[in-house]
Amino acid sequence: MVFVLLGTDRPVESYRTEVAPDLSAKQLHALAAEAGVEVGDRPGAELLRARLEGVTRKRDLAGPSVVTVNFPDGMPLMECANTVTLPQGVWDSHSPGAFADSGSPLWVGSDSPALQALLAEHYGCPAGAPAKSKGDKL
Amino acid sequence: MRVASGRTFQSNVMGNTASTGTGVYAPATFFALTENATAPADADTALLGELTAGGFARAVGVYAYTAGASNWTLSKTFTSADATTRTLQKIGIFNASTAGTLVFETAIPSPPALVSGDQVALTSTISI
Repeated sequence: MVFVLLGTDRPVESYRTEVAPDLSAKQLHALAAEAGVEVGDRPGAELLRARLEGVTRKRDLAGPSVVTVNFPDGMPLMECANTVTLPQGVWDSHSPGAFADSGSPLWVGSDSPALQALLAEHYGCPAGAPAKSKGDKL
Repeated sequence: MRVASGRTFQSNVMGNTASTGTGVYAPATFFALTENATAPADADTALLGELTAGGFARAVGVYAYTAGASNWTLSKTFTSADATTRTLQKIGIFNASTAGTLVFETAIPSPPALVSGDQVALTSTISI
């Protein structure tokens, strides 16, 4: 199994906002508009509530930290790289911004030298984990 | 949501001394998709209308975890090879490539409609 480590000084965690069980349809639609949730297909209240419960938000963690990424056996190199770098991919989900605003890792480490070099070049950051981070792989 | 079968799975994996990390205790890392637009329910044990072809068949996701966080993510990029436009409504996370235990079921907030060649990156966020 191939792994990647991404160093970050701005770690985040994701959380869901509870949707109160007694909200009216009007209140659910107001929340949906605020959260950018799809309502064009006129979902019923139960489905709309479920969609709202699928929305995640991010909050800061104390840093620095390390993001550990484990890839399934046999996943092609480019697919591994794309899963990390694509919009709404791994890095987007584990960094404060989104899309082009998600910034770059401090460094990239991996047990695959080719994947490490590819990601380091993509992000313009050092290849290889600092010595003190090499034991962080879980 | 963590469905009832998922809570049983999790308690067994975390606390049952019989847990081996394989078989019924295998990690829940498989993405399944459906066009079915009924809300997820606690009693669900299967993903109704699970897609099995056209690039949307069940597949292993990529695990990622930020040290110290209270959640982890599973990510998977799907590419449609389906002649029919598919609107992805829900994600099911299972612990096997077929059958297995449904552990998590989530409605996609803004269901994407994909035609052949379209690609979608999906990330499921799981709270600890």
